Amino acid sequence: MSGEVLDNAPLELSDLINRVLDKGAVIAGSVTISVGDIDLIQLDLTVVLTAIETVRSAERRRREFDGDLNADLPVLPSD
Amino acid sequence: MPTYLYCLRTERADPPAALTGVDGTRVHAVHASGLTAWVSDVTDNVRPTVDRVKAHDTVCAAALNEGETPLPVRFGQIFPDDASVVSELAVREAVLRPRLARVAGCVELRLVLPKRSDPSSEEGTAETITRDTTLAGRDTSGVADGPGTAFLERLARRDRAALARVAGCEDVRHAVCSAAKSLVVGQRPCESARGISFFPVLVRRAEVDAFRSAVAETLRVKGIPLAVLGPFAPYSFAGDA
Repeated sequence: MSGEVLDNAPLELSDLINRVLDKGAVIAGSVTISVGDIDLIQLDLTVVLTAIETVRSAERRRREFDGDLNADLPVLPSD
Repeated sequence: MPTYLYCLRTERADPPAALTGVDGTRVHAVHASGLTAWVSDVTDNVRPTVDRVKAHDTVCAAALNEGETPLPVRFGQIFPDDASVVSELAVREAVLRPRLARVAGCVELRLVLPKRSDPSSEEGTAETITRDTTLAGRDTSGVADGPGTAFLERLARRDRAALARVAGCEDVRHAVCSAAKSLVVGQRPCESARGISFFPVLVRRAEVDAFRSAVAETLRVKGIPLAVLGPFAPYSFAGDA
């Protein structure tokens, strides 16, 4: 298959993370933000909110661990 | 103890006895409203790590190998206990059953376009930048760009590159899905992240090899570098249609 042209190990890990974190059915996790009795925003997904720079820093750190893909390193930081 | 949810099925199938999920916890089945959920007991704080994401997918993959196609659940859905899972499934049964029917007998494949080797494709080139150097009647051509301007220009170049990647990926998706039209049960638009573009397709389990062959022939003719990953539990087809 033409997939040989790719470095498949990091590709599959990246794809796995995208697939498992971002896709799939959502059963729980419904949050409605209201002011008074008026519903303003409804979030019905499981989301992680963080600063972009924090995510980038985590990615940089994760790349440093590329040799050990089993590292118990957060995919997305919680802070 | 909190209950972590991996996937749903309509069969009353128990997971293999040795199957473990997030943090090595044993996976067991919870039955509710004619649905079966594969779950495990976890601690309160299940942050997303590479190991845990892999463990989640391992359980969904095991469910896929055990029989009917499961409805995979997104990472990180935790309930106070098994009884809460039962009550949530009862509430959501009318939504979940059509989704299970939609993916029945199928698997997900992901077609991935590699990152282009030309570094200019990621950031764009100086020639692609058009800007008005005269602002409010003042000629600023002799003034060096500040960091704010440089930052905005970098963002603009990145956005243009991302749009170009998605447009190219959509062309490939159209070509592939046209060539294998009878084999594609469902498809989703292209996404692009960090230079890699991809799109998922839903294919009948018995026709995975036929689909791969059809794709390989299309790619050979058109000279497109592409990787076909999978089969996976149908994550991309488990949500809203």
